Amino acid sequence: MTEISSDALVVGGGISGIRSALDLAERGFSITLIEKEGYTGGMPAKLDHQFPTNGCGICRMLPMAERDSSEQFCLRRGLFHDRINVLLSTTLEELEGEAGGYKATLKRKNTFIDPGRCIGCGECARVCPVNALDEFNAGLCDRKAVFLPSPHAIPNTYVIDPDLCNLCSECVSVCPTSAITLPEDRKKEFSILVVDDELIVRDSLKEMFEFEGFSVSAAGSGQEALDLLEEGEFSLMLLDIKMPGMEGTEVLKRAKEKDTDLSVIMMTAYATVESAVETLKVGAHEYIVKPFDDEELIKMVYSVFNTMRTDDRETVELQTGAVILSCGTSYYTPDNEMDTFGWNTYPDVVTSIEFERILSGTGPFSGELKRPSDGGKPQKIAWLQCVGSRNLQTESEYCSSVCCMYALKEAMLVKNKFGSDIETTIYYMDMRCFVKDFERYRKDAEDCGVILKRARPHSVTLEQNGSLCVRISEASASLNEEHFDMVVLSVGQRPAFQTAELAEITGVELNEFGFPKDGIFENDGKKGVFVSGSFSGLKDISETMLYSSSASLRAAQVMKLPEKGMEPGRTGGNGTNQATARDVSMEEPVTAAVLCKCPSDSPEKAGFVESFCTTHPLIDDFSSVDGLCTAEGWNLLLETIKEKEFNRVLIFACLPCLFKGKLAELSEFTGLSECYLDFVDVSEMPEDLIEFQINTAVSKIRQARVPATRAVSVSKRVLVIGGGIAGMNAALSCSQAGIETVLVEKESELGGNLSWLHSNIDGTDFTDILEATKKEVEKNPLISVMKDSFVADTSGETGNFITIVRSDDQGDGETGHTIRHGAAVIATGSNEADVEEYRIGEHDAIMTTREYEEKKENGELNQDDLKTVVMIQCVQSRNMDRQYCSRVCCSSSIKQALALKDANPDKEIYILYRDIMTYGFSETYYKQAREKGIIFIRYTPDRPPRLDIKDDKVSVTVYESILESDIEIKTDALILASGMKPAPADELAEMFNIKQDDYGFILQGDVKWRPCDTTMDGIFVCGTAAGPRNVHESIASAQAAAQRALRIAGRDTLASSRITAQIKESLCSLCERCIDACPYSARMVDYDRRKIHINPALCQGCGSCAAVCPNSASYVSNLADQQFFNIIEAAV
Amino acid sequence: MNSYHAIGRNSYLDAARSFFKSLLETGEVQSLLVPLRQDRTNDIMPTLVSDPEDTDKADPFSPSFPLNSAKLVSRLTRKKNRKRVAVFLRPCEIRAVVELVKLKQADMENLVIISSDCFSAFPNSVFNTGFREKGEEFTNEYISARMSASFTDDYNGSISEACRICTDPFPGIADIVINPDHSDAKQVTVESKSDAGGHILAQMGLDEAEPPKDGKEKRKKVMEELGRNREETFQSIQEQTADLEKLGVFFSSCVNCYNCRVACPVCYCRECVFNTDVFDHEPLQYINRSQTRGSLRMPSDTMFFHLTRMIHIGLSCVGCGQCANACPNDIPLSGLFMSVADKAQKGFDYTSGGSIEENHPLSCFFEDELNDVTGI
Repeated sequence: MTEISSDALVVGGGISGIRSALDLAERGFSITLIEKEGYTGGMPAKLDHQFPTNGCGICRMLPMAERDSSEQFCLRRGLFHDRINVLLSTTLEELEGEAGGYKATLKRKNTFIDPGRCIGCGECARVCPVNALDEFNAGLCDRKAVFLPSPHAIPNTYVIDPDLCNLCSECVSVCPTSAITLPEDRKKEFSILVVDDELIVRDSLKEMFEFEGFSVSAAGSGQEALDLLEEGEFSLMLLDIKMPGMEGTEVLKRAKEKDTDLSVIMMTAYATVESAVETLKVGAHEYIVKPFDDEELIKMVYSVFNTMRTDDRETVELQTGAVILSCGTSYYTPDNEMDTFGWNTYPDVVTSIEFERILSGTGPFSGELKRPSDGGKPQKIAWLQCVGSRNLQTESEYCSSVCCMYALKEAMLVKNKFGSDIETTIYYMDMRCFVKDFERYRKDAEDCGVILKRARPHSVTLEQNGSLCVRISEASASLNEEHFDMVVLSVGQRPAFQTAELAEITGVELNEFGFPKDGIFENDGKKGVFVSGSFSGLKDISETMLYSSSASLRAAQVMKLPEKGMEPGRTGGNGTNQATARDVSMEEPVTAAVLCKCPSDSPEKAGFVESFCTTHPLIDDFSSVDGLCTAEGWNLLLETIKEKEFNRVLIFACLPCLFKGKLAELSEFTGLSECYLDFVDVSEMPEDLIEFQINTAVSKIRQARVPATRAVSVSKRVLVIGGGIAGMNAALSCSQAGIETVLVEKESELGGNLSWLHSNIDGTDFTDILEATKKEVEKNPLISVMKDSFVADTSGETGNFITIVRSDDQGDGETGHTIRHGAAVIATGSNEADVEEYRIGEHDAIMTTREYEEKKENGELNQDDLKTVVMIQCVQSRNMDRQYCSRVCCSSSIKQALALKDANPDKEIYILYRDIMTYGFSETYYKQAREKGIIFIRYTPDRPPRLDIKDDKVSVTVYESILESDIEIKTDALILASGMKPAPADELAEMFNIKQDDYGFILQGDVKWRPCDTTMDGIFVCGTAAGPRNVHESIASAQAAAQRALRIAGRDTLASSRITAQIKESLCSLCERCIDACPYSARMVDYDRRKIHINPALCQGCGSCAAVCPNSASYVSNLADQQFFNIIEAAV
Repeated sequence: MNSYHAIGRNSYLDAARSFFKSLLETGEVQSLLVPLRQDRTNDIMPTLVSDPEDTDKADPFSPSFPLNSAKLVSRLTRKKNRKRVAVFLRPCEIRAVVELVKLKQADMENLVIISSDCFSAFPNSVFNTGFREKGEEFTNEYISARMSASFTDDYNGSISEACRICTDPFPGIADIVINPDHSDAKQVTVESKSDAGGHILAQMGLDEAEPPKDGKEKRKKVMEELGRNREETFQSIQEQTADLEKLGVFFSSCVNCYNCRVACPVCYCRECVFNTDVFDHEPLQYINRSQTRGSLRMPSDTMFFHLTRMIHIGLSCVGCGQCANACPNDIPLSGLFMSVADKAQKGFDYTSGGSIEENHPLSCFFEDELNDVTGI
């Protein structure tokens, strides 16, 4: 058993786990991240494209400050961070203790292959005789019992699935690096006792399991069996129930009395199934009904065998302060009896997950669009929405929130990548593009020819000619058929596998659908287990990011803050002491080369490398050692080079990425900076390529310069602008981490929109939440609240801003308060959009949602007077001016409607809508509303509802598409769901040099992967300032934004990375082109000193500045012109 | 904004000189940079004149064009300075100034730009052999010949390649423009083209005049002819430089003197990368290169130098032709560089020197535009 200790345990290595782990690591905590699969990245590791960018942006999660602490690799290939310990194929088994001090027991699967030796050659898989479905490719193709868990991991090493491996040892004999050690065959020691009165059954079972390799005994009666049990040890008994003399049930009872550990599988005829079920209560492991399928029984026996084996797993104990559960979600498998779409029956009916793999370059068809049945290219593809969502029969009354968008994406990708002539049709109920930019995405999809049809197909059948017939009942109720080459089922989300077990182990609560509760509203601060990202269900990537950071923030609150001196910014990147390393750039280069003699390499190759190096004009010394990847080999290397005089070292070994950590050690040992040391792969390549590799590597280290790194000290304070629920939560979150916070509010009261919004659709009382939050903010000694105040000016950059805050009542003579802060959070929020249509203001009965809420609250409006109420959705949303869905109005209207209906069921309530956007769990309220008789009438923008005021009575006329006629409704109240517009933030945006979108919302750094970042590091955004959100989401985003801010404002210094832009001032003409080119606003002109200033903490080393600079006055450290020219010259 | 004032009759040169003189006398500008005939040698060099009396040697319309004055304007304005300076510039020099302003190498704040329709220029080698010593007499002769023959006179054979394919010989951005009159009245007028220009002209107390007779037709004709010349030249350049081998032949007489770079008004680097240690190769590298290819033409990196310059200045090239003027071995650089510039600028829909407000393409280029620009 291994024991480790870490500040936090993150369960689940998908994107939410990575996000939570990186958040905490960036704040200086150490993390253990466990993942049950053999790869990190979760579902997005399987997706090549994500909406709405149609690309992949997973790397945008990588740290931007203190970049050197993490390898800058694609996160689909792996996560490498100094403070994150990743354990693959590992699960959480037990958890004891409380917040701040947990003991977790982990189970780590043994993969039987030494990852340090596996070179990923695939010989083992070639000879493996066992076939299994490839889960990574959604079962579209086969893999072996020895396989690559993902196609693109680094290092990509094979693993053995112990449940499938038959221990045939074929792989062991072909492995060139002897990386495989199979466990001993324990089947001989696993003895099975077969008890049946029928000889033929006994014999055939005995023969069958002996063939499998087990030792088998047989008994013809109960008594005989008991005698045998008396004599010897058995692991498993296969026991017939119906036997003359002693019945199986009696044998079981007596056998268990003697040996409680004995596993028993009951064999029963159909007539005695009931007694077989009873036996489970008295200790039988399982039962099987005769006549049975041999395979089924074999599987059962193996499952018993595998649980009794202990050599396939390792137990790890972990001391940890907090546990973050980020296990993601699973997806609906449409294989139950309700399935009328023929998945599993017709190969060309695939789920959306399967389709993603078909589109993927690493998928079963290498990215070619093919039909699984015949490999042909489909010309007509249909997507069926809401498969396993919004459906009572599949126990999913909720909306899965992501399927509309991924279907649009897949259809668009098909059009763009494989030909616009391919017909793509999406059958949907409501097209739920409820996120700010998604409405536009839908329009893009329609513009490129994706056909959207509002219809719910009820079945798919295969026609004679091989095409798939989709049967639809159209709105007009006549049965309709359409034919396609391929059908994609947009499957909905389900709780992650083992959610129930994890809930049992950790004590997190589950909702009625089995998803864990996220704890945003009910956070009591005592528990140390947090639900992160999409584990709580129904979230897209952007929301997953928010909820992951929110969980990591709350987790940090129960952990001990990193000790002084250990916090980030003090250790200087990845631990290597670059400062004391010898600068040898001015010395004449003396290069030593060392070849690792790998047992898998041919002696000819070693000979070639040796002769090439010894005659190379730029290599001064050559030596070789055996097996560098082993500890002995490594020590030998150190011995070898200790004796030599050199100032550059090249080591030729396979898998250079494995040696990244070793570079630091070698640097320490030699006293040379890492830039003068390099590992070069010369294995498995022809001779000219070896020459190429050696020549370029020599040139690279020859011209290297030790990069100048420097650290910027940080003003440890956060400025929060906007005192609504988001701003207050952001301020509280920062103060809870011990960081001073200044909260600026332009009004005289905190509270923002919650001052008029009193509850949400699930009945959460916002008045209480608001009061509690306000009180907490105002009594917190670390938060200074500045009311009636606004930001007048700001300057500086990430880590060090100087902002001037003025208050309204100060005279002109006042200069305002000067605040030094390291980061800022913008939470300026949103307002109700201005409504001009539907004759607002002409009649008291016509009002906006907010006006209705307010009138109801202050008693101006008596609900009892309202016999008929009409609500119109999408007023000032999804129109030409505001091409976005305001996200909250549908649930808000349904909330009002349900309240009215509950008060008096006789009220007539009409909701006129375009698409009902009750995403996620709020779908259940939409269903409730329909059940309660609230009438929903769909209108289209080209036929909007019309209004008439006659005899002081308001009436609304709307076209009803099923009746195909206009209907007129006389109403007592007309409530216009008015949508959201951003609060004015133009001046603020200009001052902070951040961008806004077309509507005035603050532009996010990356809508998907960095939803709380703005276009400038150090400035963050939360709540509705970034786009429409409900209160729950706003609070989560506030916590996430605070977490992002704390990773800057919570540290003493911000260190630059080894790879950052530098400037040769003597060459610089101050043309300022580099300033325009810098995407991170990391550069500015210092006019007084007449030079370009680079903020090393902001610079990401992208090299745009170096590209625009005509004379290389601007360059990136260790990637300078001369060095590169020499590398190129060595290469050609 | 545009007002017209008479500054003289008959002699274009005399009218300009008297205008320069009274400009300095008003004190609105402290000094005037203008091409001035030098004593004894008859060389015409840009000269910063402060004494009004010295303006009678000004000779701005001569076909002498020894250097592009934009670089001098950069020296006069690059750092903050309260003194106001007027400069007389050819249209291509103005374009270069505009580019340098965008590259923060010059500043318009205390600058008054005076210009005129350009009469074209000779290469140095031509002007210095036979025309220089004729003095200002030749200037007058040249002006009248060019004006009467609609810029298509006998001197065409002497005019430099860059001028024959000029993109625009008429001043775009300027404060004051001296207008020739193509009618019989021979009235010479100045026109204010900016508020600053208007203010100065008002201070000078000049008589208001009628706008000169419309030269539009004439200008159109000139532009058409230049366009035809350009097309022909570009065509022939394209044939001469169709592949790397031909390009090598084109540059075969280059001796890496870098005169073209020094003469280029928009090559603005304080120190060129080709002079830095980036190109300070180790001796072994030369030998390696020679061994790899069999032989190595020295000095090396010639093609690299010219290609780099095309990339660096292609978008800013104003077509003044000083590169060709400066080449000791008469490589026809102006045609090549202008044809490259033409394509690059069209690709980005950019006109070098066209307007101060128009951002340099590389300052506002986004990766998703790559496809549109390059067609790749």
